[in-house]
Amino acid sequence: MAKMWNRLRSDESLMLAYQRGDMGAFESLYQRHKDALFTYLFRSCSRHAIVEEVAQETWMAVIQAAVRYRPEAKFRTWLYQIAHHRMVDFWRRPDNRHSNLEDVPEETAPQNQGEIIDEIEKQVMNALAQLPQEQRNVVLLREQGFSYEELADIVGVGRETIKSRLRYARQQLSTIIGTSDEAIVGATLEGQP
Amino acid sequence: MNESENILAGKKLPLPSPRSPAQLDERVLAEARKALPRQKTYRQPWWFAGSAAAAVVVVAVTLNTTNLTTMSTPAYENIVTDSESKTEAARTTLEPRLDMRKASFESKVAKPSVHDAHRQEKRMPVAAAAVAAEAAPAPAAPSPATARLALEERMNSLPKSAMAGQAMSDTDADIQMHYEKEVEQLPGNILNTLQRLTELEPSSDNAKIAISEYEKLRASCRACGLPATLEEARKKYLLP
Repeated sequence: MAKMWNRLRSDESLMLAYQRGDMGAFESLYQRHKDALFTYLFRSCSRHAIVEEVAQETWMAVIQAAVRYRPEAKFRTWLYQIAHHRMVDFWRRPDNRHSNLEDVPEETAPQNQGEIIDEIEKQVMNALAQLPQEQRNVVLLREQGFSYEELADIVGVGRETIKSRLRYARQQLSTIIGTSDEAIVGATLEGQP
Repeated sequence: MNESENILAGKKLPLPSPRSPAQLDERVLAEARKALPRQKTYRQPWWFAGSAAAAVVVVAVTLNTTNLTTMSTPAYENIVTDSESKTEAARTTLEPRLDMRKASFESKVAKPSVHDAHRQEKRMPVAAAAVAAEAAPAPAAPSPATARLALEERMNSLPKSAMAGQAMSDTDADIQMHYEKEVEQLPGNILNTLQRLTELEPSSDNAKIAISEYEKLRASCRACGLPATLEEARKKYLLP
């Protein structure tokens, strides 16, 4: 009964319930966002070990911040803001200083996870890896369904900067993937503001 | 290419979507459970504030209800109920007022009927003697016990509604007003004497005695400001 009720509650409500000591609320919240967050991080990095490490750090930060949590913004925006900063911190580490993932061995998801990455997906992942980190992050967050305002909150830049980064990323991806697949890029980068 | 067109229809970039591994989930949930007791000590249950507010409201309503019940009794009832515990000084202060109330009550409630008038004619000489004795200068005031007893008898005769502090009947209200307006200034023994003098029939021989005694009474208390005639005094102090 409690699980059914938690499915109907908002993210902020579940977080406040966890703040008050409701473990079931956090489990519901975690189940709701864990896969999408892991997907975003994997698309940013493609290295499972690193993705798991960053994902764990992100959720640890959420748990530790639960005591002083205030629903001033959407929980999902706050969650991805933490994940984005964790990923940026990872790339800033001395042993991880790569402007893109060109030199990083490409990894695919393990087969035991049931995921099949076909050639198109590989092509797009390779194209994304060639983008500057700032443009890649914006594209991947846009893929998660965030609006321009939410992207600006997560990344910490203005709305116009977000739009210009998306525009440049579209041009780059079109060039890399080829004109025949330009519609694929345009379909994602357009849409609701 | 057909496959890419199908992906294009979904308006999403064709990117891998791996799920969170189980071991990562276990680690995260274990950490969340470990952090749970710390969070519980910081926060009270969500219903705590509501229950505290409800308890305050219940106490406030109870106190208000109790106050309404205790505040409803009239002031003179406290004199009767607490008379046993009052000090001698308080009793002495109350004596003149008790006498006045007793006298005025008798004049209002116990008005003589036709039968009583006949009986009074027979008793006049006795009453006149009694009045004469009482009209002597500075008659002794009734004892505190007697005054209290008289007042208690009066209180017992009042309707229950008055005792319970509800609205008094017109008769009781008139008595109360009469006490407070006209009788406050007179000493208790003067008023007693006045009452007895006016009970005598005007046509009887005792009326002359009553008038004579009234003159003596006026002389004994110039400061009281008694009217010139007994009839005026009766109208002023003993009638509404």
